[in-house]
Order: sequence, then structure tokens, then C-alpha cells
Amino acid sequence: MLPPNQQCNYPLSPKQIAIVSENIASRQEELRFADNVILKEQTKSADNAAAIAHLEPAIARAKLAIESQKQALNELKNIKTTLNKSNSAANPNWADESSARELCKTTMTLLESQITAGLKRIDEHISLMEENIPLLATALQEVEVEVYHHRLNQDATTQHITSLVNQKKVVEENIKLLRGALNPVKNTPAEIWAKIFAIRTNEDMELYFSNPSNQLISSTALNLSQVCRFWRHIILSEKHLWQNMAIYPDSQWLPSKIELLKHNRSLNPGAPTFVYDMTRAVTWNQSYDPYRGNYHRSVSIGASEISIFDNYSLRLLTHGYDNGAQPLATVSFRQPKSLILQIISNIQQGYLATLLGPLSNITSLEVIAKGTYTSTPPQFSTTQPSLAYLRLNLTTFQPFDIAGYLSPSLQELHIHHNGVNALSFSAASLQLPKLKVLGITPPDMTFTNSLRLPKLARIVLYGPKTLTIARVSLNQFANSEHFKRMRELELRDWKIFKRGSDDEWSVMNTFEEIVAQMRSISTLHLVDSHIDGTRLFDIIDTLKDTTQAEDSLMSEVVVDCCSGITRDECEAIANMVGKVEVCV
Amino acid sequence: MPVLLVTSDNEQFRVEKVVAQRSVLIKNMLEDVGESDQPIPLPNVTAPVLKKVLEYCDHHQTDPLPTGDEPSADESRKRTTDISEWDQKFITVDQEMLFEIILAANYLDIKPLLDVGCKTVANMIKGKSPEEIRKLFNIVNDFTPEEEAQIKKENEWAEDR
Repeated sequence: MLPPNQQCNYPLSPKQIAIVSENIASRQEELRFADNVILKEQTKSADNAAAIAHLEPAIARAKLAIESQKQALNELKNIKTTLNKSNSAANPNWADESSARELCKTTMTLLESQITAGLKRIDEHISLMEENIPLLATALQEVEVEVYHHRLNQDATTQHITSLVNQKKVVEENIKLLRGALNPVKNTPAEIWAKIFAIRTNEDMELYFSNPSNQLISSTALNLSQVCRFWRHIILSEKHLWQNMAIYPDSQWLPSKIELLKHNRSLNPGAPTFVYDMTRAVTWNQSYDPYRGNYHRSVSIGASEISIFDNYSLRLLTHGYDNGAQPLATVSFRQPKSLILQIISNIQQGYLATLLGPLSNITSLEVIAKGTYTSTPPQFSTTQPSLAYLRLNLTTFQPFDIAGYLSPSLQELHIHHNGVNALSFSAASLQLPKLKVLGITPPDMTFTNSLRLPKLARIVLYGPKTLTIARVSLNQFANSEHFKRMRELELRDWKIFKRGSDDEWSVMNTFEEIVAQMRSISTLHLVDSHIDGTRLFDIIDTLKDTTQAEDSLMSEVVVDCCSGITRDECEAIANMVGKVEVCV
Repeated sequence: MPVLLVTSDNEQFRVEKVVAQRSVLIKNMLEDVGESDQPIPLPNVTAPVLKKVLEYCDHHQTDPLPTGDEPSADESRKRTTDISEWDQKFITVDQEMLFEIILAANYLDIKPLLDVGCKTVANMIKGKSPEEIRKLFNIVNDFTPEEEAQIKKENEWAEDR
């Protein structure tokens, strides 16, 4: 449920989406209108430019014509002046030579009359031209005014276009904002974000445990809750995100941390997990704070803070030897119901018994060891009388006596390791009256024959962690009493194993080997393994063969995160057994 | 037998039934209408997004159909990281398309595709500060001054450890 004061980071309701979409459509209409106006203005501007382009050469030509008229006028005036001069120069004194003189006189008279006539015509031309030039100048002025008007129009049009383009930008910005509100990131619902946050939170925690660094265990949920109110609301409501809380016993407990603890309690009244990193405890006790200029104050975790939880789990990260970290006995972790112990290097002999000494009432324990596991059997039958669930997830180990880990209260026991060595078992026989689920790695199958398990219902066979090992026969195990009585078989983490030139060992040839003994099994679980769907079909087909003396009880196959099987093969198997459940 | 799907932008996609049935929503609709050549409207999915989703469904058409509900806490813990090589290449799209695919996978009920999308987004925010995340997704910092003060307190606690 969203808080009443929704902000823009919250997904929109369908009604709000419709309003925003309508708004976008209307703003887009405005854009289209502006585009049309711009187009018209641009046409106008182009017309003006064309008119100006057309008139400008005319102006130039008119100017040229005026200039040439003026030039011609000047030339005529010059000719007239020259003729006037010639006329006066052509009057010498001819008195002594009468006949020549007469002839010349006649000629001169004629010439004079011609010059006079010519001058008259020139005068007429000049007068005409003098009349034309002002006319041409007026016409030129008119054209220039016309061009000026076109220019004014064009400037106005350009300004209009610029203003429209700016308006368009504003509208486009507005559309972008509105589209932002419809962005799928913003409209991703809370349940999807919660899923994303869960992936991130879990992965960060696992990354820390798989590769511890000097950095503090990151509080991914806290970090993500600081992005925006919508995210914070989701994160504070999701209990899964607060399941793991890092606890630093050597640090001060600020009220905000206690508030978070209380919030955690309200979400996880069941069992939150406190994460305590013992690998760095020594460093923290000695750390110097350069900003405050003093040594880091150590304030032990108060019993009151932890005691607000009736029930909690503890996840410890440790080197597997005593590094001076505050022992659990001195802090408030006295009664966790469940404990996951992550050992990142080789474990010291007897470390486990010492570490767990103060914790007397554990019901669930998982030991994950990265280095070589050496164990002094912790005698859980007396030290942990309530232990119901035990999982040993080992890599390499020095063979040890598993009997020391077996408490009569156990209901579920899992031992998964590399498959190179086998565990030993000193007791001649041991009864685990409550044990319902037994998980083992193939070399350890022999010790199970010494156990009396009246309630055993499910066996988990883990694939060894080392890929280069030789095949181990499961025949003897499959013929055991336990196997005959149990109803569920699970094969988990099976890869394809091969050592040198030996035959391959896979989940499929394991099945083929024990198929005859599987008639009492009603549910087959295949988990995190590579399987061959066709071969699995054939094996189950053989199992369900009704001509056999004994009918198979198999009614369900669970395929959980397995590769190598298709949808059709699942359907074909479902047709034989009744139900195939697939988890991805 | 092919199935006709119609997107919100009225584009039609004719796909094989086995491909369309990767979507639980479509599978249920087909079961409800029985044998029919009626087009199936998908009003919440646009054509470009459906095209991408169908590409995923086509590639994974032979995978077993998930039948179980949500995995248990233990199972969800182990399944946080892996994305197959093909899926990784498929989901390498721009941010808007990535979220469109997630929303479509959620609407069409294609859990493996939704998982791939969510894991991809989870990888995108890995190791980022709140401010970097806001920038990445264009998220507005909408905290009130009181909430900002509360966050500051939380950070003090984180720094004080």
C-alpha cells in the first residue's frame, strides 16, 4: 500500500497514466500547430527573399542605366563645348584672297549652320536626358523602398520563427517531463522492486561471505532505502530484506540502530539473523579514528538490545582459530536458535567445541568450511541436546568420527563434501529415533548401515564437490534397509564426474544402477543437477513397467533448477508418474 | 497451431502455440477459450516489446514450464546471480526497453524472463550510492527535511561501526 502523499517517484495509477497520456497528446497537438505556423512563416520568408533577390539586380541595372545616361550626357556636353570652340577657331581673316575666301566662307557658313543644327540636336538630347535622369532616380527610389519593406517583413518573419522554435522547445521539454512520468522505470510496481532489492541484498551478503574483505558488511537494504521515499517505503515493508543484520559488538549502539532493530523485530517476529564478523574483531578493538583523533570506543553489545528478540539466528564469519575476537560467551549471543558458521580458513583442532561451548540450546547448525576441516568431535549428544538440524558443508577435511556430531534429537542430517575421503564412524550402532532426512555424499554411505533410523523418510544424495573422482558403486547402499523403507529420494548438485580414463559418473548412470531398488520411492527430487531427459524417461519407463513383479510407487518427480531436460520430456514423464513439478 | 496476439498499438503477431504458452497468462487464456482462432488482445504490451518477449519465448520454447510457486528462502539464496550467456545477450537493451520487458514479463506471467530482468537491474545497482542510483534511473530525491535528518542519523551509525 502506498502512503497518501504520493510523490513523483511512485508509480502512477491507470487513471493518472490516462491523464498524463492525454496531456502529452494535447501538447503534441500544440507542437504540430507550431510546426505548421513555422512552415507558413518560412514560406513567407522565402517569398520575401525571392522578391528581394529579384529586385536587387533591377536596382543595380537602374543604377547602371542612370550612370550611363549621366556619362552620355557629360560626353554630349563635352562634344558641344568642343564644337563651340571649333566654330570660333574656324573664322580666320580671308580678305586678301577673295574667291577662296568666298568659297571658304560659303563652306564655313554651311559648316556653321550644320554645327548650329548639331548643337541644337545635342541640346535637345541633353534636355531630354536631364529630364529622364530624375525620373529614373525616382523609380530607383521606389524599388529600394519596396526592397526595404520586403527586408522588414523578412526580419519580422525570422523573429516569429525564432519565437515559435523557442516555444516548441518549451513544449518539447514539457512532453519529455510528462513522458518521464510514464517511463517504465517510474511505473515499475513495488513488488518488482522488492524482488530486485531481495536479489541485491542476498547477493551482497553472499559476496561478503564468499570473499570477506576489510570493508564492513554492507547494509544493502539501508543503502537502497536512501534513494527515494518510494524505495524506502518498499524496503521498510519487506521483512526478507532485513533478515540479516550486521552486528558489531565493539561499536556504540546509536538510537537509530536500535530503532532499526525494533523495526526488524516488528517485521520479523520469527527469527532475524544477526551477522557477526569475528575475523575483524581484533582490528576493530585497536582501530584509531583519524577524524575524531582518538581510539574507537568499544561498547559491548547490550543484552537489552538483543533480548528484544525472543528468537533469532546467528551467522558467524570466522577464521577457524582464535584471533582474539570477543568470544561469544562475553557478548549477548547466548541463545540463538539457529547458527550458520562460516569458516574461511583451516579450522583449528577443537575450535568448534570451544566456540559453541556457550551456546547450549541450538536447534539448527550449519557449518560451511572453506579450508581444511579438522575436527575434535564436539559430542553434540551431550552439549547440544536440542539440535534438530545439522548440515556440514565441507571442502577438504581430515577424516573424523561423525559419531560425535550425532545427537538423538536430530531430525535432519546433511553432510556434503568433496567425495575424496569418507567420514569414519566409531560407534557399533547408534539410534537416531527422530531422524527423517539424511543427506550424504557417496563415500559416506557405509556408516549409515550402523545407524538405526526408524523414522527415515527421505535420503539426499549429494554429488561430490570434486569433479575428478572415480565412480562409487551405490549398489550396496541401495540394498540397505534404510533405502528400502524411505519414500523420497533427492539427488542434489550432481555434475558429470570423470577421473582419467575411467567411465563417466553422472546422475543418470547412478539412477540406472539403483533403479531396481527404487520401487518404494514415491517422490524423486532432482536438484541443481545436469540430467538427460531422454534417459530419465527410459529409466522411469522401466521402473513403471507393469509387467514387473512389484509395482513402482513413484507418483511425483520434482525437477528443480536442472539442465538437460525439455518440456516435452517433462510432460512424457508426467504422463507416466502422474505429476512433474518444475522449479526454475 | 499458431496463435494470433494483438498488441496495444494494434499490431498482430502470429506465433506457434508452444511459444505463446511460455506466458502463463496466454496459456490460461487459451485454455479458457479452447480451440479458437480468436485473436488474443494484450493491451499492456506494445509491438516492439512483444517482439522482444517472443524472441525470448522462442529461444526457450523447449525448456520445462515452471509449475512450482515461489522458491523457499534457501532456494532463493542460491539463485541470485546466474544469467545464461544467451539471456545476457538478449537482455542487453536500453534501460527503457529493459523495464518494458520486466513489466511485460510480469503482466504475461513469464517468471524466468522476469527473473532475468530483475537480476539485470540488481546487477545495475550493485555497489552504487543512493545518488548514483538516482542518476542512473532519473529518480527524484523526494525526502522531506525530517526524513533527510533520519537518513543522516542512519549514516552516522553506519560510519560509527
